[in-house]
Amino acid sequence: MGRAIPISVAAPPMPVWSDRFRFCANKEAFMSSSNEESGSTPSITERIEEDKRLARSLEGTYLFDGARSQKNYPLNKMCMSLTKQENREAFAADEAAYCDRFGLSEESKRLVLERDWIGMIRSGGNIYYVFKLAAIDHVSMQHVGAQQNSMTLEEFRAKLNAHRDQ
Amino acid sequence: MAEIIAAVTTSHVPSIGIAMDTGITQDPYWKPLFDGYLPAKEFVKELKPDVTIVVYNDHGLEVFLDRVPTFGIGAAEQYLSGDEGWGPRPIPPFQGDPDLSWHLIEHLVAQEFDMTMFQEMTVDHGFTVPMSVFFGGPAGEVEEWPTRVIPITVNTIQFPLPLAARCYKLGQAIRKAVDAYPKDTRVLIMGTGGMSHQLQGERSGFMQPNFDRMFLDKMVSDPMALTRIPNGVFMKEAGHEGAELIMWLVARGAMNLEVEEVYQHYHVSASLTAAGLACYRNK
Repeated sequence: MGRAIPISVAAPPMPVWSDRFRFCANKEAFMSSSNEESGSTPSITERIEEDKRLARSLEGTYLFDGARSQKNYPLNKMCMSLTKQENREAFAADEAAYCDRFGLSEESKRLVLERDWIGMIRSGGNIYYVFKLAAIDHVSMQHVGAQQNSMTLEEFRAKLNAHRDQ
Repeated sequence: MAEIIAAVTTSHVPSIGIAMDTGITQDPYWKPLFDGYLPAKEFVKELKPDVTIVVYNDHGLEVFLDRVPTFGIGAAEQYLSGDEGWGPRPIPPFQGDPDLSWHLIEHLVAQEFDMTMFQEMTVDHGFTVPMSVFFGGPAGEVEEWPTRVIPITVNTIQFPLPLAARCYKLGQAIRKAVDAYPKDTRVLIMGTGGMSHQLQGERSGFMQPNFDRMFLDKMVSDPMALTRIPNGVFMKEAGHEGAELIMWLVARGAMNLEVEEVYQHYHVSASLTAAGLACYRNK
């Protein structure tokens, strides 16, 4: 059985991920270090900090770490409750009152009522929980993505399709 | 004796499930993806696995942020498609294999993998979509699942996520556990999630086919290199949600170091996700 779509693009050159971490530089090392002269490997603290620094440096990305998870726990908890039909009905009956039951801040409540997806993400919402709210409105992930990008749906779809040429 | 007969991997996008459930797999948007799945379905059909171990992440169905198991395993008689917020998928129930589940639990814990045990659990798109992709008919249709299942969950939502190397080692431990199971059992291991995609933030819509192709190549030629990728790097190169690729390494770890890639398919995109699929046999 062969490949339906042969890979025509040559494998890219081995990337260097950052100053400190290199990919595949040394098969023996778990994660190899840039301090090759000294032969030292980063400490656990250094590895964690480097990983977080990189993740936090990504523009338009909100690393969902412990601090962010704590930041708007009520919003995520409210969204999680929408996995039950009776809760979806209660939410639809009075959205603001339903948010109050979960102790959402006034600002978070506004973000929910206005379906401000990027606002919810910035405030500590996790996309998988927040998306349960989108499902209530029968709104697709592409709509949510477009709004987060301040784009029309057509513009966002063009952005997605552009990756085909890469 | 039991043995792991093959590994398969695939993305697990919810909209792929919706396309199957609403009968639009032959629409122009979806046809190239579903046509690309056909040889993988043939491969799995010929394998006739007794049990399929499905490695996936729960996306807010059984697991909320109040308690997040890094690794979990199901030990139920049966698993149903759960309601993630848009109702359960209209698919048959999955039959479990509690005897093998408890064997795996005992052998994984003995190898220092302290699994969270689920005796009751529903499964979300991360589990059901790959099952439909591999075991469903051309349009994903299923009358009865031809395999028992064991879900294995990996936390890919709440950082810190387990390291890629740890996921690979979990796969190695699963391999040892299966090898030690006395009943004749043909086991397929399925790694799900990825490939590059980002759903959250202004960077949503990010994909990187060059990274995905490198990942697909190294799944065969140098999986150990993939185990050295830090999760921050996965986020940079494959997107915040693309870090799910660590779950492919669980499946890969359960195979020999040398594998043959029987089939591969790569499609940009299924909604916001670069959709990859591959089938591997031991050399």
